[in-house]
Amino acid sequence: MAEHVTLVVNGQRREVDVEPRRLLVEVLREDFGLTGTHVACDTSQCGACTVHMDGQSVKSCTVLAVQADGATVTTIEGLAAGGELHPIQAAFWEKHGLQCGFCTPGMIMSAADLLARVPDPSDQQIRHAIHGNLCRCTGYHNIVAAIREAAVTMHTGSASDSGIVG
Amino acid sequence: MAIDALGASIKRREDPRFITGAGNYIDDIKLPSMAHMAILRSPYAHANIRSVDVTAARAMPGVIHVIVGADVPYNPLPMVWPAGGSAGLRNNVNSPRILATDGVKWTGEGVAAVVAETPAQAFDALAEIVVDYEPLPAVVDAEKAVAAGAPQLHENAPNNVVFEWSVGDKAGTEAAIDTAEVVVRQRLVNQRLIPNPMETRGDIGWYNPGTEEYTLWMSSQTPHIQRLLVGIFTMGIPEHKLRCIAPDVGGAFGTKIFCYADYALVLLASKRIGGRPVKWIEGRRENYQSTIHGRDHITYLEIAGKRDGEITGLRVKTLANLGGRLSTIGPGIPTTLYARVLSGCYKIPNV
Repeated sequence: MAEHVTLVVNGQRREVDVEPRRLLVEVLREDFGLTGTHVACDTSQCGACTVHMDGQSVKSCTVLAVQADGATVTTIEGLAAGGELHPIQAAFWEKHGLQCGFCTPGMIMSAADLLARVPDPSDQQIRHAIHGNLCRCTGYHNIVAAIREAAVTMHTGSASDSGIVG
Repeated sequence: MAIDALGASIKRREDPRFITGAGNYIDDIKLPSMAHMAILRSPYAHANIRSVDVTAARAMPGVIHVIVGADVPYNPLPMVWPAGGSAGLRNNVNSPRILATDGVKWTGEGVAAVVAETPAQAFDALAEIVVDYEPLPAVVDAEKAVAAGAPQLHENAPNNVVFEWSVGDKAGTEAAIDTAEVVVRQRLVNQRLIPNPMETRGDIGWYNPGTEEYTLWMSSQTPHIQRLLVGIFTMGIPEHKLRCIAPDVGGAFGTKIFCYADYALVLLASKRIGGRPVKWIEGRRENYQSTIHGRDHITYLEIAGKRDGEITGLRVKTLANLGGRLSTIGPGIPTTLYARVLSGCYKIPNV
């Protein structure tokens, strides 16, 4: 038996009929085609599926689609405004905060949640904020550096240094 | 314009799509009329299969097709890297079938597959398959596996020994140890590990009935090799009839080098259902059970040395656990990939 769910995703109003057992991440990926949000661990531990729901980061594999009825959801696809990279995205690129990229969308969404609450976090606060996001390739050093860089950029409006696009 | 890359921080060309959510990993691919496959896996490490009843599963909502081992016309998966050398051809090859037929040799070995309209329907139908197992004793510790009275896995591997292999300067090493000022002896356990990439494995098979050509999208590190291993060695189809495509891969750590049963299974499933593409995405539990593991060595080592710390010889005897059936390159790893590099970065005259 399907339930009718209405939500706003990346600024667009969306409606969908879902089986009650279906997860928010499944609806985002399969019904709305927003495949930037990933499923990795099946156990709510890895954070690859992190999105923002009503301004808070959530693991969308742990939210039933029916629970998101009426909510405003932002995914990684909704972070870059008008084709410009969000400072966190730019910093991940700049600081080599990714390799395979599979954990990256969730990592960036967790970082965005942190920087919205704590504009100038310590490394300890950054590490605490991403402790629910797992990465297997890169390790966390460059990810922390990227989030620190993004915090600076968002304060001052410019990055601390620039790289070369190869 | 030429860039002096030396010493410069080069930004990666592939990153923009990954940081914006525009990557294209295997589960992001959606093809017209695509069906979904789920695999029923053995809960036993060692068991005979008396029967597999899929009658109820076939009647479940959304189910298009069910495959059991006896339906699969292909060869067992190829084992392509025998130890060679002193092991000669005595590599007793017992590699996995696409689906088990008369018995299972590891927890997670595939027994049946369901193709359905949605992934959830395929998983629902798995629960309706009735497998009559006769559980048999299992052994997971390599030293216990070669001990007297251990459960025997394969008739052609007495005492569960696949092969014995040696390399190096035997006489020189013996002499170095016999005449050494100091000999250090150690038992070292290098534990079994699960490589555990963030993205599990997965594939999409498509058989085009018009051209009789197959396309296999796969989260793989070796699509070129798989065209040979899956196409020719397993399915008996020529390379020009199979195209293998690896999209973005979300980590692998070696696991996506190997040849897996699901590659042939999605292609077979697509052919059986008239050419609809068939997607299979591995769950995390499946990844732990059915994608390859690493290490699992028990090593007895002897280091010969002088009192001033100079190492003069190294003798190593390792028992490598190759599992219940051989993987694609299983025998090559504890031999050529391991024993030939035992001295590491050190200058050891006798190994």
